Amino acid sequence: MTWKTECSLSSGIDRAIIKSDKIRRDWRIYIYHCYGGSHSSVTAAAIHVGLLHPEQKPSWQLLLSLPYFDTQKASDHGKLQFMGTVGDDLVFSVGLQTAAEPAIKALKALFAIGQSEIGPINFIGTMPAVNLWMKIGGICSRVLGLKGIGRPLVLYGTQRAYSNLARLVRDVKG
Amino acid sequence: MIFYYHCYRGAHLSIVAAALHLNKLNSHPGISDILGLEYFDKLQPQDMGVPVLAGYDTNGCPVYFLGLGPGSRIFTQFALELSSTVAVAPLLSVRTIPYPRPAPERRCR
Repeated sequence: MTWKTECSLSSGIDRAIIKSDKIRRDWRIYIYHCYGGSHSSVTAAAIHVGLLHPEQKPSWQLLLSLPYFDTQKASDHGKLQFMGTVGDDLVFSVGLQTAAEPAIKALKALFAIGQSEIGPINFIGTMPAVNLWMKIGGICSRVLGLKGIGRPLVLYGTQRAYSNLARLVRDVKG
Repeated sequence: MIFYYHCYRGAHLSIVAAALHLNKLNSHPGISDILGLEYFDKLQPQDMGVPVLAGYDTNGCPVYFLGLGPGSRIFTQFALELSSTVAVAPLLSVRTIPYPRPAPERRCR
């Protein structure tokens, strides 16, 4: 067993390439990440796979009916949540706390070391689109466990941030 | 199998763990042995996320150490999930932070 180690770690690997029997080589993987992986990244991923319309603001019921919306616990951080496929895109959401940058860098290096060979993985941070309402509501609902206070705040905040999230997804899809 | 030893900065704990893995240290190392390790106390916060190759173990598997900052807590779960989803080479990611002090024992009455 031999491993190549001359991958360009310091220059930053833009795309990790992975080998797999399970996943077709031409599939593109999109991973939306935010702090907790329960609100903004889930909403963005849902827009990406077409569960939400990018132009129309969703109702509270529609947001709450999304898979994984407002369900993550602290122990779930780092777990991939599969949101669906659209065309050749596989879309996931994940909560990476404040450690998105080093964790993603280390992961891309890992895939380069393992010489994996499937399509590019795109990591998209959704934190720039998050507003104060979502932060306060997310902390109340997920960290403190106060769903009665946190959920209305985070739902209101998600509606306010919806156009930003939709624009982010539109830029990602190109 | 790729071995990743990670801690907060990748400067102390994980490099000693990697050296133990590679049998570069005996079980009772002196201070000079630890200070003599290459890269001991060298990695800086801006190096977070960059794995450093410590060497190859007896099975020929590469052993890396790295700092992950606050990501040390979630990285193992994240990497295992993603690599099992998209099937990369087998990976063992070891968080070295819990090891300086033994876990508190639970006493039953």
